[in-house]
Amino acid sequence: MHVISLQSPCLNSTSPEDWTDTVADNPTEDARQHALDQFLAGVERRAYVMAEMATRNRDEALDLVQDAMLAFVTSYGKKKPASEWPPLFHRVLQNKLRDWGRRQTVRRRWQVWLKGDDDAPEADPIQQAADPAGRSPEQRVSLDNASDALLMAIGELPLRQQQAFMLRSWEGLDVATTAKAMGCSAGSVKTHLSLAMAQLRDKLKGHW
Amino acid sequence: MNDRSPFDEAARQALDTRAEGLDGATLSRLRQARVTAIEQGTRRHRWFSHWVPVTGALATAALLAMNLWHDQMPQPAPELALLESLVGDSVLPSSTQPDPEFIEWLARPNGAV
Repeated sequence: MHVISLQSPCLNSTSPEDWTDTVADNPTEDARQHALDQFLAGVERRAYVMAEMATRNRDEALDLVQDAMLAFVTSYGKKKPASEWPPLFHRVLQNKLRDWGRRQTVRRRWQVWLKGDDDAPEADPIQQAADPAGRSPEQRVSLDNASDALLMAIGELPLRQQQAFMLRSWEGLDVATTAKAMGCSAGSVKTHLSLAMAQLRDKLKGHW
Repeated sequence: MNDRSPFDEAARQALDTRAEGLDGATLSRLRQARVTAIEQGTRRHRWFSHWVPVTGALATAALLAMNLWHDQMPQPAPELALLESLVGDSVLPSSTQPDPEFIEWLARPNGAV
């Protein structure tokens, strides 16, 4: 039985060649398990940041990443070649994030319906959520750090626009792969990305 | 994507910095999530790969056995079964006993008295 290392490598310390070579050179179950561990170790931080941006909640983000890892290992880890893992993992993760977004929408509707407060403007729990970095609203307003402002602006994008932006601009996926990961058409990806860029440029006028 | 705009580059750097600067508690939870996912995923896959074929084979064998047993059961002749059902259920009232003379008359060739 292969013992999984608890030593987390630094970000990007495992290149794709590492885990694909592991499986190609030694296609046993232990080698595959080791390759899965290496692969997930290489993507876990970025997956968490994506989930945190979407949920703005550390615990929810961690739960979503764990769910995505488990679903990925169960559905694809043993069946698909290692070279196909990255887009498949992104698809699983983005599905989890989209499901989470739908649940939030339903929960919000129920809350509005149960409270019967039709006159009040609908409160967006995402907008109401505490800042993950623990900043007060005043601190957020007076942010002069361009990176922080950028991260905050990305976090405020609607979920689908955020997904399109992160997958295209951060992960560097092409339009077709992004569409596959998001479960939509290439045209929708371009629309989401265009809207996201317009919003980001508008919000970050003072920085760029 | 070599034609990155300065904005794309800045976004990538900001997100990379965020990912690299995760605190120890979060990294520990991520590590634990990874280990759990691999262990549970592998266990579930093993359970599936062992038990699904066995269960499928047993179900198929049971179906085949039932089919064979059903084929070997003595079946009543279709005409007799039909006659029984007609006589028993619909043609004659349930209280009426079959009349031997009537049955004998039925069995005679046409025209015989």
